[in-house]
Amino acid sequence: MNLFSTNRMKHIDGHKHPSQDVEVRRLSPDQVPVVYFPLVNPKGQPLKVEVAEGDFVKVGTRIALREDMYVPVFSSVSGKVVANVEKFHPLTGRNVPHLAIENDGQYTKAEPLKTLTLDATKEEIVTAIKEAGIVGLGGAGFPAFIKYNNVKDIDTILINGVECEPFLTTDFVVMKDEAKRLLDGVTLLLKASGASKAIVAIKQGKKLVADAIKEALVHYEAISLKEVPDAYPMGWERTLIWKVLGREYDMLPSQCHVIVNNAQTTIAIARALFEGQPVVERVMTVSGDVVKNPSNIIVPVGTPVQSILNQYEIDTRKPINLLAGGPMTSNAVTNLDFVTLPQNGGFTVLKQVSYNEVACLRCGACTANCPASLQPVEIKIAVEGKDVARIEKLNAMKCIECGLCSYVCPSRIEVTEFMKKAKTILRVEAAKKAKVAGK
Amino acid sequence: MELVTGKAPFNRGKRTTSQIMAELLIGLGVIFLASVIYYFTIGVWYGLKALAMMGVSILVTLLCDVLVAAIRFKGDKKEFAPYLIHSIKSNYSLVTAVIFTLTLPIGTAWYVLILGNLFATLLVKYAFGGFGHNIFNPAALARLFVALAFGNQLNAYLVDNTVGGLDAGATLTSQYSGSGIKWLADIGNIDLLRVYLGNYNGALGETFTFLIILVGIVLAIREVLNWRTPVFYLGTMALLAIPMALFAKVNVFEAIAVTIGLGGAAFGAVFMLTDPVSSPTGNFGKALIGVIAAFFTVLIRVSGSYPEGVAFSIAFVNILSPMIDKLSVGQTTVNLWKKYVTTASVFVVSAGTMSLIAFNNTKGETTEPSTSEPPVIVPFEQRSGTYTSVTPDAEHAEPFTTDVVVGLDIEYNIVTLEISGGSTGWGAFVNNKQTLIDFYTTLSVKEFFDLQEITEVNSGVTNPGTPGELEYVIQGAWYSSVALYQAIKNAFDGIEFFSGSHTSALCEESEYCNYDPINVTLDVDVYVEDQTINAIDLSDEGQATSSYVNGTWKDAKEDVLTAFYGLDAATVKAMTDPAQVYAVGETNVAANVTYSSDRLFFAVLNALEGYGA
Repeated sequence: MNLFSTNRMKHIDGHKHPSQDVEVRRLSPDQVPVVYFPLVNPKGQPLKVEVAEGDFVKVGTRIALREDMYVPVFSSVSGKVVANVEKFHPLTGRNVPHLAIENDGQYTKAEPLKTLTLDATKEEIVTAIKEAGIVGLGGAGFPAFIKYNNVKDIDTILINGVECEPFLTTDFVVMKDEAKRLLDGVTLLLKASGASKAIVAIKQGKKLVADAIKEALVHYEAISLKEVPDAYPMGWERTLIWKVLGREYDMLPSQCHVIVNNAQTTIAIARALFEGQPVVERVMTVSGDVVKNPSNIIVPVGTPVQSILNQYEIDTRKPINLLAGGPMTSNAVTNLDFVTLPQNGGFTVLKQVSYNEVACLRCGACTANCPASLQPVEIKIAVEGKDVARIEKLNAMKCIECGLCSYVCPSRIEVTEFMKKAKTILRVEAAKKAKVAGK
Repeated sequence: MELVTGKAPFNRGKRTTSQIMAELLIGLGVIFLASVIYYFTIGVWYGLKALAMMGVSILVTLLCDVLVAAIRFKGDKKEFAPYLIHSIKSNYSLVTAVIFTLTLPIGTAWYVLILGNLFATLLVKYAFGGFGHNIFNPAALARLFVALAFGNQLNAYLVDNTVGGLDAGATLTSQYSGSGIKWLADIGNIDLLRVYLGNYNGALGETFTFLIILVGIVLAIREVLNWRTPVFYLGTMALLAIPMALFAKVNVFEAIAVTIGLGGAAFGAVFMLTDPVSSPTGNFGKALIGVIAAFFTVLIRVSGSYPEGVAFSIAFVNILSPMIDKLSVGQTTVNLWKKYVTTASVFVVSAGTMSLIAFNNTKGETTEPSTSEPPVIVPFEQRSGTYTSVTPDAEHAEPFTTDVVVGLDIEYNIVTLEISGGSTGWGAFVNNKQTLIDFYTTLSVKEFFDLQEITEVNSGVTNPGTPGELEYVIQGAWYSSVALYQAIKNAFDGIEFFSGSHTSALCEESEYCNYDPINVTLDVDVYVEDQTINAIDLSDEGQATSSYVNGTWKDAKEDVLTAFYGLDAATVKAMTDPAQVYAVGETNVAANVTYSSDRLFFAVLNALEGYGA
């Protein structure tokens, strides 16, 4: 209980058990006849394609390269490359060409990537991560090696196994079975960063994962396990660093000598660098209150979403929201013609709910719980009053759109929408100023 | 499947505004229930009035809701009903009605209750934009409004059904008004337990401090209200009471207990100051208004003349809320030192100011407790009497003489009795003399005349075994008791009394008279000796009793009475105009108390009808 400060987090219902306690499924080959890979990056720029139509590829064959940040893309099946297909690309919001590969069902593996051992140098590790095309698997999809490129003065690696979005349990099921690989990955990251210690952070109450990691930890030095409170958004790196290490930073965690990586990303790094396997498949959670048989399911990267949803009994009698991710931060998609990327954690399918909005009673719950220490209610008032100077003073740009303000609002006001509007207003103002300055 | 879009996040917490208001109403309901039970123990009409007050408030507020919904509605008549229901459900006016009613005393006039509710709902709430947009807490401002506009209609008792001496007494808290010094004085004979259990009369919901604090704790845990505001408010009040108590040299714990327990401070802290709509939005703001409001409450109580310090300070911090919000910029978890410094500064300024005021107001007062010497009473008139006892036989006593000097007050009540002489041989009399003095000094002259006469013959003297049941006969001291009685009787020799009465209206409705013009009866005993009026004894009922006029009548009474004294009884009997008695030279001693003095005049005339007949 603090006197004048705020909580910066709040416990919310997890809805984890329906998908967590059930056996992990796997998509069979006949359920995925073709896989697709978008040929643009999130900014819409085209990828460099490295295979041609008619080529036969195997699991792990490099098929394209994202040039702006150097991210290679690998095939997730073995089979023939067929003509490109236009499909919807959620990251850019429009239809873009996708490379299509027919699945021959064999999953023949290509030559593994160059592996290394623990006496590899820092630079070798970073290069290997880069060549393996590892991206942040927690949802961001940011190339993992960039965090370690030319980095200095890091003393701690913090592994984010928190998974604070409700319904999603993919990190949980993977960590439970791959504790050793996780810690191997941590060891690589320690080397790559020069840090002296690493902490694996998981949520309180996840006994199976905690036990698995503790058991594996006996073989490793410099790594420890920390269980953090079950609150949202504990998985946000700023909140996690504050809770675990008590440190604050301005823009990047490296400013307070920390690098944070998602647990599954770390496991993928271990698999890629020690076994030469890039990310070709992914555990995804399909859950939600209209899903009658929620579970986790292993799918090849590039699987059409429809194929995944076909495996589940979904109550479609009333309108539903299909979210590509967890309910707090994901948007609802209406176009199902897209494919999964390595960083997609799952789908949450919910009954559509409309809320009775009443007037804001200025209770301050949003302010009391905002993880970015902002004052959403004040920003809302400033947006309604079109007071740009005040929006700026209230630091609206620091909002991460975690959705906690709307969650706690008893008046059911769309507070997060106001925060997004505020950020838009500031961006427009900044663009105007840049234009004027540029003149 | 039908896929639809929406706005992130796609789940919500369970707490809704309606739920918050419902829980608040439950908390208020608990307090109201306790209040109703308390008033039923005073009298059935009291309990019913409490229930009726709440019912009327709710009804009036509901009608306001309907009225405003009708004004705002723009659409097809058929759709008005759902619009109205939605409007009522989302404006939560019921809460205002309940809180406001709980701040009023049991004897509030009906029109005051109704006007207060209209003011709260229509003006303070809807005129500013309805729920969520009001700047002031409607209940607090309406409470202020009725206090200022109809202060004297807010009685702590039912005017036409006073029970058990409830009337005439001011509320416990208003005893503290008028003289802010009272807050700095020793609490005297106030029973703290009684105060905290609400066994006294104040506003309907404000007295049961224990229950209010308990409900407040539950509501804070349920996150219906933010704990910071009431904690900082009551905490600052308690902390401010400490330097004040130290300067005034009174018991610190008692001072703190009285500060929090009286005057609706706890109720205001839990239910009115915490109103989220009129408070700042941030945790720090909510704490700060608690500190500022506490300062103003204590300041108004001690230096001002209103016991309503709580309502005023709530209104004041309501005004400050927008400014506090405006000044809260940036992130909430950085630069916390600024917040600590601000709070500490406000507190230091408050403590300093209150200490100065306390020091100023209590300097020069002696600190020793008063000795147990009773004040010396100076009688208005002294009369001497004597009696020589006849002893039946020399065995018992020598004949002895008892001299008395009887002191009478202005209304011919016996106030002092000095006895000299008397039988000294009998211990019974000497040891019990004080008992007799205490007995006789409770009587008026008339009551003395009404006593059964005792003489040596009938007092049991001749038959000592017969118990005398009269209070003024001491067992074993028959002669002395008789002698004392007879001596006093001798002192009153020549006095006659005549009794009469007069009934008239207490006053007329005017800006000075706050009562309904009910009739009161004044009974008088007029004492006449040697054809002149010596004194007049007045009954308590019939004299002006309201706290306002009390001062004026008390000041004028002596002059009004003594205007009669010494006048020839027959002359007075023949008078017709009170001015004939009261107008002395240029001045009329009854100028400011015409009702009471006129009533007295006609009562005296009525009494003197028996004179000279």
